[in-house]
Amino acid sequence: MDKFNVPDGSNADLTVLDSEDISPYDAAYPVVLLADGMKKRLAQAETAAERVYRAVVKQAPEIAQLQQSMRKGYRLVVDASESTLKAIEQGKIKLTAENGKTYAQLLDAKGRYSTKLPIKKEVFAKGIDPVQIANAMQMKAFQDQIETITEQISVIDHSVREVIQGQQNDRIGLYYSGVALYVEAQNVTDGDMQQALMAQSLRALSEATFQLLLTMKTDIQYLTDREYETVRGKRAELIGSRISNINQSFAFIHQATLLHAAIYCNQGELPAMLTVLEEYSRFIEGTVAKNAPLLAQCDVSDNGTENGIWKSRAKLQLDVAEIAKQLRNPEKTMYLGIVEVNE
Amino acid sequence: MGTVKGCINENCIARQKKTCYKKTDEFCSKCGNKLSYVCADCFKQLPDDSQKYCITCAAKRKDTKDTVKNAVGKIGGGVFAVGGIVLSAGKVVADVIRKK
Repeated sequence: MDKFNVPDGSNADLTVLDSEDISPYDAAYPVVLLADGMKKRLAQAETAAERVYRAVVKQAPEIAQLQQSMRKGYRLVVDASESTLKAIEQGKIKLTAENGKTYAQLLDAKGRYSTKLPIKKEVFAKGIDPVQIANAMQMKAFQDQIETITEQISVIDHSVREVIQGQQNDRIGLYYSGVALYVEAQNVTDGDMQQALMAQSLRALSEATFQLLLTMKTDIQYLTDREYETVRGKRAELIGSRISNINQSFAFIHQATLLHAAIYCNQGELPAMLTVLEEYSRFIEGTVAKNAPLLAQCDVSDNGTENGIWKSRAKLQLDVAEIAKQLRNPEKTMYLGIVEVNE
Repeated sequence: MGTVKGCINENCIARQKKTCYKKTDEFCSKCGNKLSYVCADCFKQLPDDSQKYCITCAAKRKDTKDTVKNAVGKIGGGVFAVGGIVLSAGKVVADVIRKK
């Protein structure tokens, strides 16, 4: 596809598609790229979980085989008495990372965690950053929520892609500028230049989002204030034209936000990705959900029911607040179950 | 205001035929679905019974009224003009007859 052609919108199944299979100018690209990025992060979390399992459970000398301890990886040694360590077998370990240091906390009979026991990190060959592991483990713990977020986004993405066909204006141009810069950044070999292009791409997407957001709010205000009433004989036509603008703005806000989040996700910046999704969720709640009944009545393609276009868009409440809070928290915590190893 | 209740089940024949129910009716007699207030023109679901038509249909109705008013105004103007001409012509004819 010629990169300056406006995409025609793909109806392909997103679960099958890979971001490398479709053109960056295709309407389905942002959601596919985001789904792809999330899949990669979850795969990394899976690997991290395996590494933690091997490193902590199998290589801890008190509860696993000693011959494992000299393999590549690292060993976590808890500074505690043997009697305390035996208690681990009955309950759970809570590993806490704070200010770059790792601590262990034990669950007592009353269900409370003990004081923090410092853990020494003994690196044999290649170290593992406990904060990174904790992030990966949290990502794994939130897998269901992340998958739900992707599913929720996919539901409204289809209706959005239908709107995008053949739409053009200067704000939409900013979105395509962001896409173009991202594509270029991916093909640049120089690291600094790549970072600069990536930053410009994010900036263009952010500007596109906010300009379209303001346009959309102005159009909604026009309908709320019934300004169309003053033009006799052309009220329906004016409502139709405003609704068409609102649909267009929403579609590109959705696309720009998803691409923004996808870029962060593919760069491993998960808290930033969640911030973008949080913002999007706030926009849905404050602008779309609040005005959904009005928009449903003005949009001739909406049937006004709960499954109608605007009410289903209003339902997109991405539950990212808890994940974002956990990932931003300087104190990283992971919970490990104790497994008997009989090798 | 004569608000209209209707079935919002897409697969129900009552919706396809745009069957209107009374305000006191609660459920669809065809599919048993709970009835909702709908636009009397396009049958779009409305949030409450405060309006008979959705915003778009209400605007279309007002536009139609305006168009009719304009047309009537134009026709009325035309009739007055023709009436005036007929009247002045009649006066001329009457004067001519009187002179004879």
